[in-house]
Amino acid sequence: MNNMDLIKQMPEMLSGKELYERLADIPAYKEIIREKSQTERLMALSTLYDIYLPSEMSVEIYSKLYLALLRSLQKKGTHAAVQQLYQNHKTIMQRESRGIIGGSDSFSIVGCSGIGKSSAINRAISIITENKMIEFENPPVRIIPCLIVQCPFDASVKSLLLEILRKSDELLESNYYGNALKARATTDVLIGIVAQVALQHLGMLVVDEIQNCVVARNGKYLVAMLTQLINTSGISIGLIGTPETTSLLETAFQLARRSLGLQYNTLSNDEYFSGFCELLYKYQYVQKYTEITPQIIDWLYEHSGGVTSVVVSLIHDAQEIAILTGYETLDIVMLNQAYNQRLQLLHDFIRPNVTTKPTRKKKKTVQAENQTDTYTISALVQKSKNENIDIVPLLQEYFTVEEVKL
Amino acid sequence: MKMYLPEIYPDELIYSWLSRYYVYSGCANHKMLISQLLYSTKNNPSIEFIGHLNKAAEQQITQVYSIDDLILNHTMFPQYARFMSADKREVALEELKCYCDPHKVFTILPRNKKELQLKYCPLCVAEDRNKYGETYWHRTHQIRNMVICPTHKCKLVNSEVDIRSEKIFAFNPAEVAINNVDPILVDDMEQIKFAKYTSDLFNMDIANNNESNIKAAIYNAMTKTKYMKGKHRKIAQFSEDLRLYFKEIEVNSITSIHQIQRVMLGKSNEFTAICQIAYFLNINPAELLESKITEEKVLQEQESHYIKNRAIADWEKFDKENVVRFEEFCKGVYDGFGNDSGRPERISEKMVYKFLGITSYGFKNMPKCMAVYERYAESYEESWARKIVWAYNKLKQENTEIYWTYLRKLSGVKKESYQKAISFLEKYTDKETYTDILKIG
Repeated sequence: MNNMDLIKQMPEMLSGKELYERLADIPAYKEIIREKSQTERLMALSTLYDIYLPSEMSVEIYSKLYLALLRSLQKKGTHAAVQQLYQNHKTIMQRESRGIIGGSDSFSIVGCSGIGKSSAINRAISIITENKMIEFENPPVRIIPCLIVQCPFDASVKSLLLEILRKSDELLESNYYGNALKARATTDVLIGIVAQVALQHLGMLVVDEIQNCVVARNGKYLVAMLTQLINTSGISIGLIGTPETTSLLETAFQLARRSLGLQYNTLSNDEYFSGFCELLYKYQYVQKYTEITPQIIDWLYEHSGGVTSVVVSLIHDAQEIAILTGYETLDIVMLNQAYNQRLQLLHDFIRPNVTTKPTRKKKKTVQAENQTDTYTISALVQKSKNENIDIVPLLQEYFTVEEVKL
Repeated sequence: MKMYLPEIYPDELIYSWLSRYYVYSGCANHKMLISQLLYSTKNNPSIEFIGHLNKAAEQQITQVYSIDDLILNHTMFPQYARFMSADKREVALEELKCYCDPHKVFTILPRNKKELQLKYCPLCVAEDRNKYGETYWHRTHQIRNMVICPTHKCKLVNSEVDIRSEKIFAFNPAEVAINNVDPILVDDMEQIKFAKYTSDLFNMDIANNNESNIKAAIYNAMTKTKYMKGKHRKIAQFSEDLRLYFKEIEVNSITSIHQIQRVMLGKSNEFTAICQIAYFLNINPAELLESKITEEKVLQEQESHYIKNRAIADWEKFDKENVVRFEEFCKGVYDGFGNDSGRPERISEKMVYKFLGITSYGFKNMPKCMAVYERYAESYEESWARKIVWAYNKLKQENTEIYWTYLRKLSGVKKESYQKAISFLEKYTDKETYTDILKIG
């Protein structure tokens, strides 16, 4: 077996329309569901979570992952890989640790929580790998194209290494995890063992929730371990996390160099977002069907902060409330209710966008005798009533006023 | 648990293959791998053979490679079974497949001091690393008396890994154990030719069931040399010339005259000995193994042995003619009146063959004489007891004061043998004499 045999097992790289079509996951929807019972409609409502509409981010992530996997497979079966196996063996025997195979092929995907990083990665991997492993019979070879693990909450190095072994065992039907526990391996030895497993059985390793390293005390050790693993395993390692991760990866050149990658912010209120909302809005499980309007799209944008998962949650919960309360209509009322009742925890994080009118210069008023500079709101309201003037400009003279579009 | 064994390389020992698996598997210690592969953690990995695999390991290995193929092509089986008869070879193969102790299947001689480690060729190492990225233990290099690499004609180097399986409980991959050394090329053509000869014999297909008649092939070759005088082989001269020749080539161990004789008699099929004999006689390897020797030649070879026996045409007649005098002889020795000193002696086989002028093989053809011999046969302890009793009686007759030293000197029984003989004294004398002898001792 050599690396060319492995590469032949990979499907061809997709692009353009074909890629979009393959990445998209648009579940079937039948209008008749709206006539079904409340229970059936509530259960069918979860289909919203299955919808995946690829974006530019999805395409970029697909390309990144495909090329990373390709580079990993190109390194397998080479003389350098064989030599690295022996170096890792020395590490296990606690003699020394040295990287031969090299590991500049690592990347990071940084983006806010909920923008669809993990979904994009999962979709990309399912297309690249076609949900199967790379296998040969003689000699027996099995390679997991992509292994996704979560960074432990406490950024424990040993926990992560053992998790990699445990997940590998599930797919490889091996017992690396059990053997490592039995041997009471130290962290250094574990790194050697994981490097061996990765060299022979992994195409790519993706570590999600890497932002856990930022706050945890062991965070820097875990990142250092990943650096060592990159050098000794010859596989691409992807670090996925939220923007806090950037601060950690910027701390050292070697980390930054190995973490070149993709950074994503929340979506803009653009064509893609509109298309996304329109698609989601089509999946209505309330009895009365309503069409989406530009105002609703704007509202959704402002109340989700451009985060797709929040949009899905809003539309889902709005429908759920509508069905449960018998309102049976998906409109701004239900959406507002969903935002206020179900997404309270997000209120501090999502500040709906407002247009602030420039404050007028305060008029110089000649203060009358016995008049103070401060005005209470009640006084201003009274004044407005008395003088029949608009309260908002009046308030603006003394306070900063924010207008919220409905 | 699934095992992801690497590809086995050509001419690689199974031990080497499993040692590489030790590296690839990420096992933290040897014991862990032993428990994964072998029947018991108390088993040690076999360097020359397959070892005792456990059921799970065997099942996984046989999914990819057949056990027959592994034993025939990746163990030292050809070295030990090459010159066995086809039947015995088949039995040996079956026994190894059942994980019998190889020492019970083959005659495995103790190793020469120069051959206690696994050997490697520096140029083969470089070639392996170039081709596979790693090196491994080659089977051909481990053949006994192989001192140079038949491919590269460079001296084989001893590693630090003991080749005796019973001494190790570890897996030593070649890539880890081998140090980088400069190759020493050999230009001695005889050395090179002998190494090639041995390697060819080792690597020839052993799976076929061709019966080879080594003795006849060697005899046939010998007839064309100065080492035959009529039908008789000049073994001593042959052995000496062979020794000088191979001393010149600087092999690790040279076949002794005893080993040569055993090979000639068909009692030994030891690979090294036969290789040296056959090479010295310029026997082509194919000729040695494929046996185009005619029946006539085989008979001639048989007839060249046991000339004494061949002088007796009719054994039955010979037996009948000699049984009476043979009995007289036995009685004389047993009772002592046939001996000069008059002391009773034990009848040994050597005495019998010498008296009758035959060999042990011939004696098997004489049932009557054999029956007589069995009547007089006794153990050493019994003969000592009889000697002691005779000596005591003689000293008593001579009215001499009987001391232990006189008794011992006359009987010829050593002090340490006396204790062993005591239990048999009663059998050959009365109680009073027995008691007296005990008092003296």
